[in-house]
Amino acid sequence: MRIAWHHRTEAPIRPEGGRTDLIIEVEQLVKTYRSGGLQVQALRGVSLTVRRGEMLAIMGSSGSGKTTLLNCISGLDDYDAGSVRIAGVELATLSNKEKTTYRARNMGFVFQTYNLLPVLSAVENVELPLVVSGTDAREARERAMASLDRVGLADKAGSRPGQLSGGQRQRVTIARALVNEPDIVWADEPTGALDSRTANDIMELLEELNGDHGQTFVMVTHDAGIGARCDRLISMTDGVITSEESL
Amino acid sequence: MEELFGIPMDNIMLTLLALFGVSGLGVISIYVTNPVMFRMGVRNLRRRGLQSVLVVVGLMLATLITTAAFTTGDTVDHSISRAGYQQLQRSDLQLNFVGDTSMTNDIAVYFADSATEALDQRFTDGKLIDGFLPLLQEPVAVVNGRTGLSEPSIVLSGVDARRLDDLGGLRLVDGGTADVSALQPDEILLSKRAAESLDAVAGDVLTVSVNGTPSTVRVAGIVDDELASSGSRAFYEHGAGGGAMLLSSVQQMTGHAGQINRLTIALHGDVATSHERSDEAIDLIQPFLQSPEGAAVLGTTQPVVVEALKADAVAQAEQQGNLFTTFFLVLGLFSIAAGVMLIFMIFVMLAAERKAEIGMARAVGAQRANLMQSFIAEGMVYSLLAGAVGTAAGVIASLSLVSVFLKVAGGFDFIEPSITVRSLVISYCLGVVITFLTVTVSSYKVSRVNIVAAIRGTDEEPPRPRKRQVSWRWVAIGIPAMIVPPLGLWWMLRKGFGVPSAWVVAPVGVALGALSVLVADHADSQFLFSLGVSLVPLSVAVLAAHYEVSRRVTWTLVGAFLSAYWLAPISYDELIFGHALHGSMEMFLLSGIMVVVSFTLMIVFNAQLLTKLVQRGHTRRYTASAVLVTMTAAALASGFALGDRGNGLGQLLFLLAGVTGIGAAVALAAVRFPHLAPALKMGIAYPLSNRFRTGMTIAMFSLIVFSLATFGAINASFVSMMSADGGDGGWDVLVSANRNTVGGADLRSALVEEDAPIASSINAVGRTTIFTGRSTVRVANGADQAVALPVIAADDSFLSLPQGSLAGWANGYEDEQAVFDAVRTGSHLALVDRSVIADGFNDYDFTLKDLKIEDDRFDPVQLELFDAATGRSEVVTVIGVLGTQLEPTYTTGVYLNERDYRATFGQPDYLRTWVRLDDHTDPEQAAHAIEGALVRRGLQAESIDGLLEDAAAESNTFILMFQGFMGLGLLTGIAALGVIAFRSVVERRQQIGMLRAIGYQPGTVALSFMLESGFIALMGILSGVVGGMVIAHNLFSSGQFASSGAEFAIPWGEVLLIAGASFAMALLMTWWPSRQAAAVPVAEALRYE
Ligand SMILES: Nc1ncnc2c1ncn2[C@@H]1O[C@H](COP(=O)(O)OP(=O)(O)OP(=O)(O)O)[C@@H](O)[C@H]1O
Ligand SMILES: [Mg+2]
Repeated sequence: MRIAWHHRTEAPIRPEGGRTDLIIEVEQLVKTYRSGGLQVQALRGVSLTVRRGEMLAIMGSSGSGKTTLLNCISGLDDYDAGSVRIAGVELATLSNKEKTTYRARNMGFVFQTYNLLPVLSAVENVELPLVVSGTDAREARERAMASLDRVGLADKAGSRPGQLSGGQRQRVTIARALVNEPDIVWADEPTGALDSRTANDIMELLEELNGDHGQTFVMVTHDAGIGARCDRLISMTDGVITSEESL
Repeated sequence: MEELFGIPMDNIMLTLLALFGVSGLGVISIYVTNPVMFRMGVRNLRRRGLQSVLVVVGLMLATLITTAAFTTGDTVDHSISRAGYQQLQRSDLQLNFVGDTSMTNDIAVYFADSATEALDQRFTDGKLIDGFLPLLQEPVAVVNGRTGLSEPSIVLSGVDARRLDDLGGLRLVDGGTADVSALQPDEILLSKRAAESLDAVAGDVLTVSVNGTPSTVRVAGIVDDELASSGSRAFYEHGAGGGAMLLSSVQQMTGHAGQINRLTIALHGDVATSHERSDEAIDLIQPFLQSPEGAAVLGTTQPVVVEALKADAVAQAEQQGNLFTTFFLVLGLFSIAAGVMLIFMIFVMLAAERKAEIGMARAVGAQRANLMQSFIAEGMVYSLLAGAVGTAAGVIASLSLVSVFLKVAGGFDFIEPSITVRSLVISYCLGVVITFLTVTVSSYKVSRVNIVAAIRGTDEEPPRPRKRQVSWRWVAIGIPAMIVPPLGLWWMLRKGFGVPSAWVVAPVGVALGALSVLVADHADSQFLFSLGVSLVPLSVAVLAAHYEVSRRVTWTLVGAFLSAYWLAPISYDELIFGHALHGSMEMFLLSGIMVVVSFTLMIVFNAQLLTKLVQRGHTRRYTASAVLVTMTAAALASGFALGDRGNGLGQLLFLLAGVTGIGAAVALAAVRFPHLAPALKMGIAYPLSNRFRTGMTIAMFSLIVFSLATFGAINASFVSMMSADGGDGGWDVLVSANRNTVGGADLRSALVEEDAPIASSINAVGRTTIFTGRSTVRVANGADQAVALPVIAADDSFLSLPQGSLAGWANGYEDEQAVFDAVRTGSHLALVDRSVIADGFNDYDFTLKDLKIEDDRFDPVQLELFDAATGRSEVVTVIGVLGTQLEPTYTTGVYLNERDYRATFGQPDYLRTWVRLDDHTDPEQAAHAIEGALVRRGLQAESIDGLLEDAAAESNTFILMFQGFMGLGLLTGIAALGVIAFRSVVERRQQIGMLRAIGYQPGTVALSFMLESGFIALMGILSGVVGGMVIAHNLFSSGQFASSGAEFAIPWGEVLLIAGASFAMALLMTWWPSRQAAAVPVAEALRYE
């Protein structure tokens, strides 16, 4: 049962041919929210590509569609038109279940507002992605501790999120996002709620991880300083990309 | 119904109305003084449709249960008294010879019919006494010539046509009144039941046999069964009825010229109210009848009393109705308690959901009182709605219970629904007041938010008590408030002197506990004793919590102490005071609550241990399952080894094996199916992280399951006793004759005379007499007055019963055989049947309380027996108790050998013959054959098994009804799980989104919800079943029922059904919300605030 599952989900994800360097390809992505009689065009034809191992920053004013973009290309949300390919596979062709499994194995998430389960301790939160992908409990715990150690919170492993500061919580989230050694890490304002010193520490950590493991980072930020430390920076306004610069 | 627990219903209603008014005023005052908060609360209602519905369902349960209890009581009361009026009609009072025995048939005491005229002259007036009605009622055998159907025993009722017509006559079944005066001497007005069993219609010719002499009578019409037409038979639903003829005809046919045997008295007024002046009339007539002049008028030497026939019947109806209501209310208390917990939880959850909102409100300056007001307003609207829904639902529930169980299943046709406004008002107000109180208390709790914690959305830390200044104002207020001690104390100590609340609660708790233990002996109350013992550790724990002793340790210890106290089969009261204290139904409730509290405490504070079962990946994967499998095997093995010994202890071991078996299965499943791990992780994390909510839900479930399981086990144990050996008294068929039967005394020769082949299948016959209406009994050397009780002569054959026929025998006798030998051959030795020693079990006013059977033995007791007619008496020693489980009607009495009986009561008239058949004859068929052969002689035969089954079926009807009623409580538990699951989905929306984002499949999310409910339900069910079974076991091994002779038995089928059904319903109830959880759209949930 588990083996068959492996096949189905991993086979289509393997990169094909010579385009291995492009892990994310987005073309003319359109997303419209409809609630009640109201329609909000959050994405109006966004196209973009991300290379494997790249650190991409997305900036833009509030409400410009950054979170929406992240949700759509990470497979958390559906889109209305356009196409998204992750590692050469068209998202639209994957079933809900396949997308979920892919997320569990190959993606890490840092959300804008809500990240940790209050009922679990830090280390339990970190090991969740391993638990869902069927890792042995003992191994999961070891890797989760290692990951916590990397973000400098090994001593807080047993604490509940409620007992941690905002910055510490964010670091636990990062530990969780990295614990399954994902291909892509999505981060929606990972430093938004933090002071500039802590934000700087976290950025350094991310850069270090990016350098060591060659993971791809897609990061939304309001902080120009942080944006400047990435490989490339795109700006959004009203659901379209208005500028793009490599740094 | 006029009274409940001795308090007039009107007072209850007024009190509740007043409380209701106070609650109403409270809410109105909120509206007036703080309309913003009021609207803020009420607005919440409309925001969520489905949830509001669930909340109303949860809140209405208390009302539903009280309404059902009252309505059922009212219905029973109304139906029985209505039946009483219909059967008695104008007969308010009756002359009687030995006391209140009117409901027993067969009284054969006669007096002069001339007494009627004499009494009429003397007492009948225009104000109080309207007239006398003389009757001569004789059991006779009847055959309907047209249909060939026969009845061995119907009541032939001789009536004085003129007097009966004056007092309303007889009612024709087709409507209208029969013209009794127009009856010809050979005509009969047959009662409805007799007509049915003979398939007779007007014009049929019947043959009536009295003492073998046949006469023919013609059916003039069919009338209702009432006292004047079918005597006492009118009161028996399954009786064969009777028929009215002219007094002179019956006197002549039965050879009782110039005699009557029943004289009733009609008072002025209408049928339903005339009896209210019974006492006045008795005071007028009885002294005369007891004077020598009166005795001369009656022409009898036997002392006479005047019995308030109708008033007694009405009182009995009221008592029966009351019994139902009380029983329902007490059993319903479990459900009401669970309902109160549910209400509390609903409000805590509503508050939790709005924590941030409340925190903000507090931060921007709302007072705690304001928040409470808002909650109370919301709660009150809910309770008003829920009260109305609950009252309606309660009426429906009660009417269905009554019609399904009593009318259809039980065959009690006379039941007619009755709903009284007063009962509805009481139930509605009670429901609303209970809800209101709970809402107020929970509002108080939830308004105590820690502002910072609420805004940060973190777990709440209890605020550290601050050292306060003495507030003399509160001290001053506290002193006069001491008239309500708890309030005064609280204000003075807590608010005035700033003493930490633990230091107020704990000493008061300990003091109350100690006081209650001390008072218990004096008040002879087991309830007070146990309550006191349980209060002490609970209060001490509050103090321990104050000093930050580990909560886990404290509460686990309290739980362990309480369960040790409640579950150990030791009567601590007996150990301490040297005698057992009195306790009844209230102990059932208290033990349930305490056992549930103790189990719940131990479970929620040690649930981490349980999670070890399902954690995989640790070194020895199968350790947990192996340990549990071993325990299961050990429990099973010792259960088998113990067998029947230990009063059902073996069964408890099987139960233990079941529990560890379930544990083993769960542990094994967790190891074998690793992909369950993610769901298990969440399914356990949530209940563990919220002890309060988990504990409340477990307790609620547990409480209901406890009540159902305990009740079931108690009944099953009694039922298994009934069907146990000896229940049939050692006989197969009972043949009943009456005083107008021929050859009843010698069954075998009667059968031979009739050429009945069944005669050869009879192995043995034993004979006994029946109640003659003359014997009275009291405990020898006692001060009590002797009261009516059958003294029965038994022939030698009856006194040679096989081993196992006695429920107990006197110390000093080797075995049962020795007892029978002694009674048969000795003198002044007696047996009694079981109904004589059990309180309220026989139809007479006598209970032999001094006789207590322990381990089949007792200390002999002496009785003094009197013949009321001759005044002769004798003293006998009771040395054995018959184990027969037949209905008391057939068995109640003091059994003597023939010589002793004759010495005091004269020649015995053996009217009951007990038949033992050979092994290959079916008792049912034999009874049929015997009755077929002897019906014309007036003999009736029934198989003992059949009689036992009828009795069991009847009590089963009631038990089923009670269980059906308690099952309503399961609704509470299930509604609770539904409410919780729905609320959890809402509360955890973001968390679900997050889990889904990081790779939880929708199915896994759904499964984790199911596992969570499953875990809670399983814990609740297991603790309820285990607690219930242990308590029931103790009742039979050392408690209340220890002397009943019944052995504890677990009704496995029933227990499995209760456990399985509640588990299944719990899962079913979670299924829907868990689907909702699975369907949560990820991206949107992550944005959800
Ligand atoms: N569920 C929804 N229904 C309707 N409109 C929505 C919904 N979610 C987002 N929007 C709208 O879509 C637009 C894009 O929102 P999005 O959250 O992507 O912005 P953002 O760039 O992440 O802003 P911020 O920097 O404030 O986080 C906004 O105008 C927002 O109001
Ligand atoms: Mg955003």
